[in-house]
Amino acid sequence: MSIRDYIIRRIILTVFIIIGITFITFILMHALPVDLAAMYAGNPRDNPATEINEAEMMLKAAREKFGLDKPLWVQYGYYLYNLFLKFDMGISMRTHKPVGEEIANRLPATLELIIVSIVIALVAGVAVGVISAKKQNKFTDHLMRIISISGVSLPAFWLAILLQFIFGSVLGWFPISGRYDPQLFHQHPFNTITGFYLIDTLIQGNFTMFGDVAWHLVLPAIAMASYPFGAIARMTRATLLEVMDEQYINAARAMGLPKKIITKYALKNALGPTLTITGLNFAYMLTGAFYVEWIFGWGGIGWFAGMALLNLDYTVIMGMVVVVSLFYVIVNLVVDIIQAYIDPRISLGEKA
Amino acid sequence: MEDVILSVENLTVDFYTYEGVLHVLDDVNFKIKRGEIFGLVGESGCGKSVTSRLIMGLVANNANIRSGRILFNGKDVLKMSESELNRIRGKEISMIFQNPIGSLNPVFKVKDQMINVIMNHQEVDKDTALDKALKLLKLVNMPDPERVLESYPFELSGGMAQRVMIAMAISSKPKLLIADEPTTALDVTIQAQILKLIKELQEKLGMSVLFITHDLGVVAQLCDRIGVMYAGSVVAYGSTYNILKNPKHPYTMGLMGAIPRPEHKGKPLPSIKGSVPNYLDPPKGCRFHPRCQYAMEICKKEKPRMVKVGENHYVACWLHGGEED
Repeated sequence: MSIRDYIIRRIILTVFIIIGITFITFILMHALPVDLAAMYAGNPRDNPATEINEAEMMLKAAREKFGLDKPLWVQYGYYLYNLFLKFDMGISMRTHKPVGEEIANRLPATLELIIVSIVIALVAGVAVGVISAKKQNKFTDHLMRIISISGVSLPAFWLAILLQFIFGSVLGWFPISGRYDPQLFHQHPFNTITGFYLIDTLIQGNFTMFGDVAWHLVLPAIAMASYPFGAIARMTRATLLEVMDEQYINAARAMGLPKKIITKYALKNALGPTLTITGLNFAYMLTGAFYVEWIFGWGGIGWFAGMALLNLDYTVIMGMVVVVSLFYVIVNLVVDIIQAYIDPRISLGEKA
Repeated sequence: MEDVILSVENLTVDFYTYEGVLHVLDDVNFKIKRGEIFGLVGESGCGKSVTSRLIMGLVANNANIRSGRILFNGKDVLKMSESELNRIRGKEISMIFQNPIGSLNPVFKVKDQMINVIMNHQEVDKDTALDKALKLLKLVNMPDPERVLESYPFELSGGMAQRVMIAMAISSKPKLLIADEPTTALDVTIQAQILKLIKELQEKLGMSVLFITHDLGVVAQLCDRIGVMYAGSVVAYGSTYNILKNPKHPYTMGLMGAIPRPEHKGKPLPSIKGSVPNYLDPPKGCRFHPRCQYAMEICKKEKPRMVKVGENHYVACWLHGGEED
């Protein structure tokens, strides 16, 4: 099976995954004992000036607008129809703007944060894993074990607050919130092109703001990276130690190959499990960003999804579910393709 | 003395484990001459592979070398630094293993692995190394060598993988090739081909071979001289023909007796009673005495010395406690 066929097959599978996931979310949302239209129309009691009848009419209009008065299966059918054929996820109940647009506007902020975090986690995690494996059961290994297990154990939101407090408030080394300094932005403005500010500033040659954006990324990225870093470090150490016991490493040593090549031989074999958990963590961070984004005032989709949940913004919740599952599928697909590239014994799409 | 390439002397090695100290090697002695094939024979767990790994300087972290030395070309391997060892590993002493497919790195192409080995010991560029790799594969009679170079190890058969290992092992014309049960995992026809190849290459390159096996048939075909190991000691040592034709040590006698023969048809196959001792607490004196039908009082107390029992034939046994070597 060629890589193209494999990708096409996975995409077809993805459609079914999304149907399944939206179906479950849809049922759950409608099982709630609330009027989903109320968020859109507003609560009449919040606005005493409005006549009760008028409020009732607005509520009724909202129900009709969103098709909430129709049978559930018709509503769900419409949702799928709009999603797959018009790529339309409806209108946010809270902001009254298209869900797709809302998510697309906020996605780059989150993606930038989690990409930087996962890169930090991967580089530091593999490095710590390799060092621990080389110094197995020595002092360095124990020290690294403490660091990486702390990384896994500390809740991200707590670490975020801690970092914010120590390095932001007390020491003042890093900014405590936002993606850039508004005052500095005023002096060195840049246009939003991709929404990834690191890239936007770079392509516009605005190095002052690039530095500022990077500086703002440090604390939230460290908070986000802590869990995947610990997991990657532990996994790399474990698989590397396992691989170091393999016959081919033994044989390579018997051939007098230098340490550099031995490490390369071992690392390429040990990378598989590390990549798998990196992929899983990467996808998980999209939703896990919620607390960290909130604490650092990031304004990405983690924060947006949190608001949607608190306000029962049903179209946004459905939309988030679609986007997150799509992201999971894409990341896993990429990981699978990289795995097949690294290890020739894995052939894509064939039954073992 | 100068015709000896490798000399293992009084090698006694313990291993530390969670269960306790394993007294594995107990005063191992043997010499390998230049240009000969020396067989180290014994059952699984008798210490032959540990010995071979020690010769390569591949000492496990938990090993404690209590005494002895391993002289290769007059230099003690056990005293060499890692960088000194890396200069002789794969260049002066090479090794091939029991599981040829497992000995090749699964995620690199054969050519990349061969190039790495060749460039490690020879000052050549990548293209020359690739050229040499192809020549080496032809030297080991590899069918379709160009395709093999482009293959990954899992695409090779066991025999082909062993040929690749041999090609890498001889790439720098080593003086000693250690073959640790190189044919055990292969089927019989391939086994015969690989043995023939090792013999051919040994003659062509004039190298010595340390052939480790538990297969007396292979030993009889291939080896000039052998050492029979039991529970961490060499118990019989000398010319293959003399030892196998006229075994003097009770263990060797037992082994020879246990070979199925037509005249034993219908009778149960003779075997040596008991099993290999536990290295945590090995028997005192001669380690074979609990299984030996000729065991005497002295066998339980003192370890027998190596004595000459015939032309080019030595055993460590109190039955032959006569003249000393």
